[in-house]
Amino acid sequence: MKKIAIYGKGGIGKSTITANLSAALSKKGYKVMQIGCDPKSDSTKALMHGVKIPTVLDQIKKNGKKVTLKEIVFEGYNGVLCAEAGGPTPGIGCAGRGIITAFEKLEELGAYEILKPDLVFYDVLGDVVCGGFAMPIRNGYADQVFIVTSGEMMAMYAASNIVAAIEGFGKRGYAKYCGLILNSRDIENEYELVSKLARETKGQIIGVIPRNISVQNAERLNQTVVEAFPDSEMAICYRDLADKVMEV
Amino acid sequence: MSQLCVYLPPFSSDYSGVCTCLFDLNGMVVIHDASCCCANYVSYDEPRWFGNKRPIYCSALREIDAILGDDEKFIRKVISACDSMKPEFIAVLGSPVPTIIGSDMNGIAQEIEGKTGVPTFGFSTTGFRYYNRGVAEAMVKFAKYYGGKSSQQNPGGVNILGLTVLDFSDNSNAADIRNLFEGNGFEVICSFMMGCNLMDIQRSTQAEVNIVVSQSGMALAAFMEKEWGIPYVAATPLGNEGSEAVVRTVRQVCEDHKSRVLHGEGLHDGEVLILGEQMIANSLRNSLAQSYGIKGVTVGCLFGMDKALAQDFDIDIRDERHIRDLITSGKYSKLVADPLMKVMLKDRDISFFPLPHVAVSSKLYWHRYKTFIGDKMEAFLAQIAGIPM
Ligand SMILES: Nc1ncnc2c1ncn2[C@@H]1O[C@H](COP(=O)(O)OP(=O)(O)OP(=O)(O)O)[C@@H](O)[C@H]1O
Ligand SMILES: [Mg+2]
Repeated sequence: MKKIAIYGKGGIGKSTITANLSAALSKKGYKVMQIGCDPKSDSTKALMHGVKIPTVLDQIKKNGKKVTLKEIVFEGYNGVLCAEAGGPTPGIGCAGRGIITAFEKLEELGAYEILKPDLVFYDVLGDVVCGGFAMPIRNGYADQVFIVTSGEMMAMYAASNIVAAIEGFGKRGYAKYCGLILNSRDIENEYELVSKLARETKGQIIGVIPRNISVQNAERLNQTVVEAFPDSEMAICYRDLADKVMEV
Repeated sequence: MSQLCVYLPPFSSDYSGVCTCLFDLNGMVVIHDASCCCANYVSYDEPRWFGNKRPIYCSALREIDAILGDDEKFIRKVISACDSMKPEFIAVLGSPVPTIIGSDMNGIAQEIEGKTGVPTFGFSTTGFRYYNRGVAEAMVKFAKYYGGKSSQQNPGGVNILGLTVLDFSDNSNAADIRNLFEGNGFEVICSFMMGCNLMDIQRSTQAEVNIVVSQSGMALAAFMEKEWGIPYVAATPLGNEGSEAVVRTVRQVCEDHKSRVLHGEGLHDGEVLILGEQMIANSLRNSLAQSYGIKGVTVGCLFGMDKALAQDFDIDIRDERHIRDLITSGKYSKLVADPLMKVMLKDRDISFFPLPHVAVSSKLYWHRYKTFIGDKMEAFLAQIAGIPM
């Protein structure tokens, strides 16, 4: 079982990329599971065709200790297993602690042993803001981390912070930083800027996704690009990225 | 409001379970807490603390450390204590605050081990679970780490699993249990986790049979059976007859290598209610059935119920309210429980038989503990059965 965490600045395109990777890899015959680790809980929206699935924390709140796996993991596009950790109402509670509780629940219910995915993606909110958001890269969860960035200053700044955090955790046997995914914003010299970041972080750019309107068009259909426009240039890009991710 | 405790204190929790297991070993134990959990353990959960010197530390976690997630400070403190203590191992334990802020005790342990070269064990103890969970985790972790596969088997060698002061106090109980088997021609290789050392744990894989004397030993029994093919007998030796029955069963298991949980025959939901630790309560029930013909005995498990050990009418006690409901149900005429529960009977016509338990009443009765093996327990059983001795 390969477990991969996708990090990156807020709004940079993590969920779009993760969902397209899940869709593409499921088409290649892998059993894929995608876990959204973000209180917004919109990671698996396109895979679930717009149906909002109840989050792990919703279900714990509703059913207490009796939660079952069926109530928190749902089958989406092409059999991709979808789960959303969930989180508190904005402004109250503790989102980081929420991620921990959700992960412990999945573990306790034996999600990985029972569902036996070949691949698990953790789509993790923004930056590593507190202990809870580092949970997906702890020992026993993801082994590899990819960071989504554009050539914009703030996105690269966030990316290098995340790399520093991962490196700091190296002594604890956490996941390894495996490279950058460039989600283009069409800014000047974008590739060079991000290449420089890759060198500075001793990483590599493992894929480049162009900025393209088909992402929004697929979004409007509540689908991933891979599903909605399988023959488009963009779908090919996501599939290539999927191959590269599997090679790392 | 049903979870409110009016009569009973909170029971011993998981970090106390881990600490008490490691008490006899030459390690350094550090609770990551604001000092209260550590104080709780040494003052209320450890009969051996007074008059003994043991390296149990607390990290004195403060608000700012929690806010900043200052693991580095904790790690620094542990390393500096380690430099002067030269322990054989280090254990770092979580408590409620680290749990809430998501401190990764296993990750921290790995980092400390990397820096000191001393084997370090992380425990994600929370303070929200009962002691038996901590006991189970500590025993399994240490057996996993130190218990190497050995080609050598030791015929007649046994281990005792689940022996702690939280269940057995620090009177002669632990020694009595070891003596029972030694006296019957067995060699006790390792008694997890009282009166054992790391060498004993290392050699424990040579045993022919494991004897599980409390429910917290079941996880290790299952692990050792799977990993090293060692079968087990699950029963606490009690009284005279009951102790002999356990010895007989151990002999049987030496022959056919099949694990056994001792159950009395023809048991039914009955007029006697035993509230306490599941294995000890079960064993009391077995003795009452076998030696005194009392078959109607229900076990109420105070610290969670292991289905593999239970009769289908046994009860997984949820909270104090649940205990009160059972008492007022009119179903039971005899109650065997920690003396603290006596007041809950009020003026009901139920006979009460006190069986102190450290994890329930702490130091109040720990020096008046029953000796589990021999005449005194036999007399207690006869008393419950209503037979004059
Ligand atoms: N390659 C692309 N081309 C065009 N639009 C894109 C592309 N990638 C992402 N987007 C758009 O960017 C928006 C944000 O993407 P997405 O939700 O995937 O980001 P995110 O990093 O998951 O955000 P958050 O941090 O809020 O979870 C989406 O509405 C999507 O339409
Ligand atoms: Mg997202």
